[in-house]
Amino acid sequence: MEVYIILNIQYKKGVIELCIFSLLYKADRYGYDISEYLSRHIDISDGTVYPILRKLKSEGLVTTYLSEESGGPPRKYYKLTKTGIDSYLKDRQEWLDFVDTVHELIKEAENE
Amino acid sequence: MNKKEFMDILKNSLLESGINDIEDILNEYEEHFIFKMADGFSEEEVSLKLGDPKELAKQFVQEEPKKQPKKKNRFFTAIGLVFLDILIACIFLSLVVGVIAIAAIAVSAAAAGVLLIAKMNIASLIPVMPYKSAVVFAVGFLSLAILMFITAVYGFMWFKQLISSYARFHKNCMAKASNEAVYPAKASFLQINGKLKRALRGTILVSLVIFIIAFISGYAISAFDAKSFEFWHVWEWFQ
Repeated sequence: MEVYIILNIQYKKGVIELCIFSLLYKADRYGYDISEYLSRHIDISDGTVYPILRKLKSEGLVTTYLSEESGGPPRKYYKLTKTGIDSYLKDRQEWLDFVDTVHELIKEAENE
Repeated sequence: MNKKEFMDILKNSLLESGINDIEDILNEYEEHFIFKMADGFSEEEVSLKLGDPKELAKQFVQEEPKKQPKKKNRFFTAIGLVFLDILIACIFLSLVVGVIAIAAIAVSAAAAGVLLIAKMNIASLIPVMPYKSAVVFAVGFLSLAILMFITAVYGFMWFKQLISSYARFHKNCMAKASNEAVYPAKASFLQINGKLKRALRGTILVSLVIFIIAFISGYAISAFDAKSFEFWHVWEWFQ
């Protein structure tokens, strides 16, 4: 049971990372923006995104920079690094292949 | 749980877990509260949706190796910056001197122009010449004054921009060495809008042309009057 839960959390984190990558691949975003976007689509608590972003940064997959918005404090933007982009494109393909395989398996089992 | 309670528990849990750069993490959550509350959520609702602060703090535990190299990096960056600062200060100082010199030329040219037109000869500094030559030369001096004044203002504004650009660079270097987020670099060239720029350039061009014409025609008129190409000998300027 314990093992299952840990696996589940790890699994979910991996998927969330993939979602964050896909967001940042399109455009740079600040932390709150990412958190809002994800919690609108995936059932996670709002605070979970920040530890993940920090981990991605310490792994060198994303970098941050401050941007001065008119009328307000500077916002910290997250941006994919070169390694981040490479890693995203690889993970993305792996994920799509994986989903395809699972899909095939389910269909096969149903037809039997 | 209100905001203060949430932040306090988060901070204490992070401290207990021995995590670096706690400020950075806390700022992110602080900002989250600000954004959410601007959307009309109460502090309690925001902290509920964020999740258990103790659990969140645990999720930050993972990145410990590479504490030492960072400090070294900061140290060397700081030393490097000190030397760079000294070099840049010298360059900036000479730029300031240059701007002041140009401003001084502007002031003395303006004074010379005014004295010539007003026929004021303080301490006999202004050599003898017919009034019409004096007027033409005065026009030349006044346009030179305008030219130099604008150049000095330009130089001063550019200098200000350079300083602020360098200050930003300096700040970002340290931020990078401490692995913090950096601001975008500032431009090192002059940031003035197109309309003002065109006006300034137009004025510079016009005053430059008037300056050249006035001095050439001033020479011509004087030479014609004195019936000599070296009219200053005829009028005994240097004796």
